[in-house]
Amino acid sequence: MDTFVATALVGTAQAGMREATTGTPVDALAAALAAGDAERRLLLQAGARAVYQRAGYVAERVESLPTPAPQELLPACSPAAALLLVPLLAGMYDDLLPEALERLRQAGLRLPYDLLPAALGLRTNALRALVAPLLGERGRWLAGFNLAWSWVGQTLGDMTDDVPADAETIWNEGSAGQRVAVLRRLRSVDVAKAREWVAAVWKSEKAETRAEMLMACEIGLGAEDELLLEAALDDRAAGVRAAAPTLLARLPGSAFAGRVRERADAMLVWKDGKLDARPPKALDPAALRDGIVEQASQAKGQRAYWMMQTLALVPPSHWEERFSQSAEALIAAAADSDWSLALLEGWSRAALVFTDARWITALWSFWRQWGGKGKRGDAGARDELLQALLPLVPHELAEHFALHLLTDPSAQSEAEAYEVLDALPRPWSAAFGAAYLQGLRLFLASLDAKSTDAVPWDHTLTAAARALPLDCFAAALEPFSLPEDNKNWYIANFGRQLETFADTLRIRQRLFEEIPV
Amino acid sequence: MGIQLTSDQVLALAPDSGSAANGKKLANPRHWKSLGQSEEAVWGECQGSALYQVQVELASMTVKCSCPSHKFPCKHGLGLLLLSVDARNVPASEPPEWVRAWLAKRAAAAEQRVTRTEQKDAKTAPEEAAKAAKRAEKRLMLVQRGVASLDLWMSDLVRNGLASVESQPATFWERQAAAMVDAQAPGLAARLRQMAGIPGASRKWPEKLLGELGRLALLTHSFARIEALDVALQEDVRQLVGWALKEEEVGERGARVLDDWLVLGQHIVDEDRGRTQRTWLLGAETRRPALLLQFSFMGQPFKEQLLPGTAQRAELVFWPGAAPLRARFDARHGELRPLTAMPGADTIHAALAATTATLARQPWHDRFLCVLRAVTPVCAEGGTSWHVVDREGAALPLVEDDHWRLLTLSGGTAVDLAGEWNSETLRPLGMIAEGAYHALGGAA
Repeated sequence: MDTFVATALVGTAQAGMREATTGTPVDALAAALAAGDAERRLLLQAGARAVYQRAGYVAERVESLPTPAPQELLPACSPAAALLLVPLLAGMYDDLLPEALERLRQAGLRLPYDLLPAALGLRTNALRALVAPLLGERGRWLAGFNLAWSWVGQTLGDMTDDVPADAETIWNEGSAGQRVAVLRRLRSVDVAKAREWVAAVWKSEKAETRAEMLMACEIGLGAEDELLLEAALDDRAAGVRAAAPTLLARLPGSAFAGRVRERADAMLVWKDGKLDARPPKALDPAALRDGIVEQASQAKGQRAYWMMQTLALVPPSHWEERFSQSAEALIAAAADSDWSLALLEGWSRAALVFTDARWITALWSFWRQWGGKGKRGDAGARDELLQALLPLVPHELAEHFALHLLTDPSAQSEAEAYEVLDALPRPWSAAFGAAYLQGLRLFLASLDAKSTDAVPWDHTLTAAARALPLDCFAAALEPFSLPEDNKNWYIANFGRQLETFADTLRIRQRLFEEIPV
Repeated sequence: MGIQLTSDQVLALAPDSGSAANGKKLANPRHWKSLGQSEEAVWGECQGSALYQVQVELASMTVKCSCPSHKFPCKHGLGLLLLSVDARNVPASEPPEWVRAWLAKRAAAAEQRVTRTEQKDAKTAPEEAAKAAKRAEKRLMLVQRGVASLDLWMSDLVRNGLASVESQPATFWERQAAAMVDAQAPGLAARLRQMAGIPGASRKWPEKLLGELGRLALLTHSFARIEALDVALQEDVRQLVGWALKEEEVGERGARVLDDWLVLGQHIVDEDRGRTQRTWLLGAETRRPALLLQFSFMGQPFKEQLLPGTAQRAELVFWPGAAPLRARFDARHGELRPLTAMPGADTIHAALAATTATLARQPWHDRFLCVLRAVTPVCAEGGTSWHVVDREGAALPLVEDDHWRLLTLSGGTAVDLAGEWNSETLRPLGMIAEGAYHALGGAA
């Protein structure tokens, strides 16, 4: 602080009689003032000095300029499309965002510059993965200026199969996340080298990193991974131990697969067209080492739970060969068994682990019509498995089931229609979409002032608005007629759902128009 | 024909984001029973809860709608304007009777305003003039007494030292400001209220506060010897002390400038009881900057539609003064055209020199229009330090804010930028990138 300001700060009374000077040409002006009190003189000097400083502002100097962003390789989407994307990126109707972004990618377009800061601000990994290829050169360039946007480099890196030139450096010096990412990429091109990398550092890594590295074995999984995976069963960290069994089970020739199969074979016997289940009475240490968990969850007996876990690690096709029976016959026999839930749950989990399409379909068809054994938890387990299997069931079957739930009044106890509709692959088929809309209109026509609920159609409109295919838009946007009864809460509520449905569908329609693929 | 605006520019007119969203929904011919446009206006009938007649006079972007909404412009007006962005949506035709009637009424009202002023002048009787002179004399005395007390108060402050004010409550400034309001010097009161925010606000607050007190002292000093000043500067001093000019006084004494006026940018400041909109214009031929101020109290809309990124042939009238900046529209002539280029200073040095010249004529100006050609935005420290740099390496710091849009649109290359300079930081208001105008900030 200069002495002039200091004088004002302490006050002229303290500073004594000496004249304050600014050290600028202002002092010459002040000298021309008529003699007066020191305070007034100081104030006028301060005013002139302030104007002098404003008028004489000297620009700073900045020498280093940013490197310009590279030329774009993709064209931007239309201004009209951009206008539609603004509210979506800001979080309104945000579940339409994935479809819109996916369409932009298919159309070979990028986001216009105006939208880039909002796009870089997206928070979930799923949306970031969708938006990253649409950022264009400018977006990637921009991300380099803000640490909060550093995810862009990583996300884009994860999406290519290329191993970066500096892979070795990243592996040796990067953060845990970067290292695992580069390891996964290397496994897809040079799995032998990736194994060498891991072998060299395995003992010195933290438990979480070891678990992640183990999980990376799912890429290019092969017999050479067995040694590491088998050793991981004895790891001191539970997280590492838990990652090994399903991977080992997927190695058909592994010692682990043999052990589990042997244990499972002892549990199931085919006799006189019936399945005889003999779950273990005790858990031996070898099974415990192979990842079978001792703690039984609620509603499942300890023995049933051990058996279920064991079966989940054996390919379902094994039983077809062993007993020379079809999947359907085996499932029917299992359903008759005293241990039906454990058997079928074990097989269902195995069908998912080994992605066996035939078994998935057969099991799913079974669960659909299974009423449970009246035990607590039966229905819950069934619904959970239905949801888990649904995305892998052939679309037609799944949609057929959904339609059955919506239109067959006796089906309502089987599952919640809106949950099944939510889990259906999108977009729906045109046939199912048309059937849905037809059913919906019939249902609306059946409503009257005395209606007391909107089951099973309640809440299904949310899924429909997002999943109906373009071919169904025109039919869906035909006005709906509801009974004119504002007092019935259920009708009014369903009316509001219909409005939101139409709004959402119109936005999708505009998106389809503005982003032609 | 049609309006030559972008959707963004239309959306900037929306009073709030809800209206903008609703306007977008209505920007679909499906909702409109009729649509049309002529040289002067666009219009349409929108099917809402009732059939609403919506019309826009294009020269002033004045929207009229028969709906009961108190929003202005309402969603129907915004919908109509958004539709008109694409001329194909709105066929050219003869205006229907209801549009013709409205346009005629507006024209008649404008004419009437002119004649009313003339009549009033004629009517002013000698006794009226005498009364007015007496009132003016009384006010002058009040102000002079107020100024004298303010001078004493300021001298006391400096005698006791500015260090003491940091611990003073807000009432310390407010009491003195209220005294100036009582003395009918609201301009001085406003300056005192602004000073209340300085102590403790930054490391350099003593220097800043001393500067502001000093400039206030220069103002009271000038007021005390106002007859010695240049006539134009007398106007400034009177306005700064608090003699607000009536519209017709501005019309009588202010300079009229006919030009192609470019609306370069806008900034809206929320204040206690309302909002202040600061819009900067530049004359394409005269290169004169103009500041259009509008106030809105309690959420009322701004009276005049001023769209950043447009250009229009118009006559501005400036508040009289030694270096006039504040102005208002006197007559807007042609249609609004989109802005595609901004004439400005080639170097920061030249822009600062223009500021210096203005200050030399009127030292109390606080903010200046600063139009820079070919400056590169530079972001450092992860977005906490921002500058624009000209081709010579000279740099101005940007106001503390998030300037990611500016950086994105620049792509690391030089752009033309319009901003508001306050002798400390530059507030970016608008830019040209790849031949298109982009509004920056201000969209509160």
